[in-house]
Amino acid sequence: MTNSSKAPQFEVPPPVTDAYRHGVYPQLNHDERARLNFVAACNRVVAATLTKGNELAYQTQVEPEFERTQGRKPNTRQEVRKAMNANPYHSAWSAVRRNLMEIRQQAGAAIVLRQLDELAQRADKLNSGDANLVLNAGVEIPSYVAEVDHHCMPGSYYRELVDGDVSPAANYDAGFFVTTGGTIGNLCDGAGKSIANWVKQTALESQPGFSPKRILDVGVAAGHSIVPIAQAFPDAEIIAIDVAAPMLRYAHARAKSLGITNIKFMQMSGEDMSVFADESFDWVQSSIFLHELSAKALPRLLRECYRVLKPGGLTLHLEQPQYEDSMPLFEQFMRDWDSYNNSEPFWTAMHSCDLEAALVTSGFKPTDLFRAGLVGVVEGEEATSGSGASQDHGRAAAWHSYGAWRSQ
Amino acid sequence: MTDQSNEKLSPSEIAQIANTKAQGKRPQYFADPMDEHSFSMSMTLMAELAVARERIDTLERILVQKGVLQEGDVEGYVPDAQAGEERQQAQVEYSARMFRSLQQQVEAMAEKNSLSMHEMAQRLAQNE
Repeated sequence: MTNSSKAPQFEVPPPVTDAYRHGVYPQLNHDERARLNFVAACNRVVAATLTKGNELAYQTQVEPEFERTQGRKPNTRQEVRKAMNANPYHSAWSAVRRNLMEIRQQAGAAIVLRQLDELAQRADKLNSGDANLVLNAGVEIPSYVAEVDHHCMPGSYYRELVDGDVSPAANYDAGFFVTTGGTIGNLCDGAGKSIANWVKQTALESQPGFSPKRILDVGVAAGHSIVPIAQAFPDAEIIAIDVAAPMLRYAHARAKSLGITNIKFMQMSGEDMSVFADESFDWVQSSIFLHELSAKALPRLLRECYRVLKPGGLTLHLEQPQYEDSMPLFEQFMRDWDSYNNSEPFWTAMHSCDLEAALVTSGFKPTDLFRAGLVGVVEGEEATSGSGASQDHGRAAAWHSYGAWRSQ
Repeated sequence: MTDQSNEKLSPSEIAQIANTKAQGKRPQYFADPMDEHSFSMSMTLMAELAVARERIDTLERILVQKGVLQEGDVEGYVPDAQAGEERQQAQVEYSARMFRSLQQQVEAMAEKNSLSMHEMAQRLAQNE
């Protein structure tokens, strides 16, 4: 390596004031901004300078000790995890990461709780009487959402403390820019932009006639990924579903304030989309969502996605890469960290299942399937956080799209 | 949304809800639970110090913008003799406060025949 001593060790993440303040973005006071700036900066330092210590600890301490006592190398990522959890460096690193997430969640919650009513009213002003927001109080929160506070977010996506509450989504939104360190743009829409670009460029090369009129997004959350798709396909009718009313209220208000009117947000579980007719969408997708399901819900949801997709239609599910035999065990272990330390308990099972086999089980032919590597897009450019991407296992703006073209 | 007006949460309610733990057992990273707490408190102090520093930086920049300070006034500030001494006195007191528990352990190691409160309680109960 040349000039390594002169090269900056890490890029500085943008301050939270760089996040785009759309119509329902929460108001942040000085110290609230500073607290989030700290989390973003500290995360970046951890990723750039401390995370590599885990691999060193593994290579120089943990694996040799495992081999000495067991007479072989670890065979599974669970064995690696058990051995690494006894390593003091890894424990300290994990404690830092966990605490940063807890600090981020506390900070975000405190921001939105003091303006609960104002946020609800701002969303209501944009939502009231709009047919593009369809809530259904009869939708039950499934246990895999109700019993888990994903990414250590107390109250999860669905808690409602006041009428018309949007606070879980406002918290999620303010924190998203911080935990991504700005790497997916000031609207945190880099994943959706990369999907839209991929469909417009790569997908149309293989399917030149593909012209989506009706698009379904499952598990839309606050709408970060679907808005750029709506912008890229302004003539398409888009339906975006989620089980959590606060997310949908916020997502609709946010999209509307950004000038988007072609997305209908509906409260619904992806496991039961019986209101939609068979073969009624040209494109059915999810973005960084499947890992928040369960082993029972995943095949049900994939089956529903297949059912509502037209022949000739596109399905794709964006996720971090699956663990496959070609992925070193240590990387699998690092990518698994969030499952055990960041309240993402389905992450480990989901990322080790054969997603392509699951797509076939849902109805696709093996020859329908494709896989594409997608990189987050910021301001039209692909994200440049190359070094960070390799260091920040499981969080980098580099995903795999697992998808299929439904045969005619 | 109904037109029912919601009561604002009080600061203590906000603190209580915002500080709630996430569902499920929290992973433990250290053998001693006290270390877990010490570490979390240190990380939180780290965050709060960053917040305080950013606030001081904001103040300095606003004072420069408003012409109260000139660029470089803070960096170039040299205390006069009395101010320099007062500030170093404050520094010394600060470090002493920070190391109170270690310093008290030094005192304790130098003590002879130091009694525990249990022993003292027995002694006083027996009226010496």
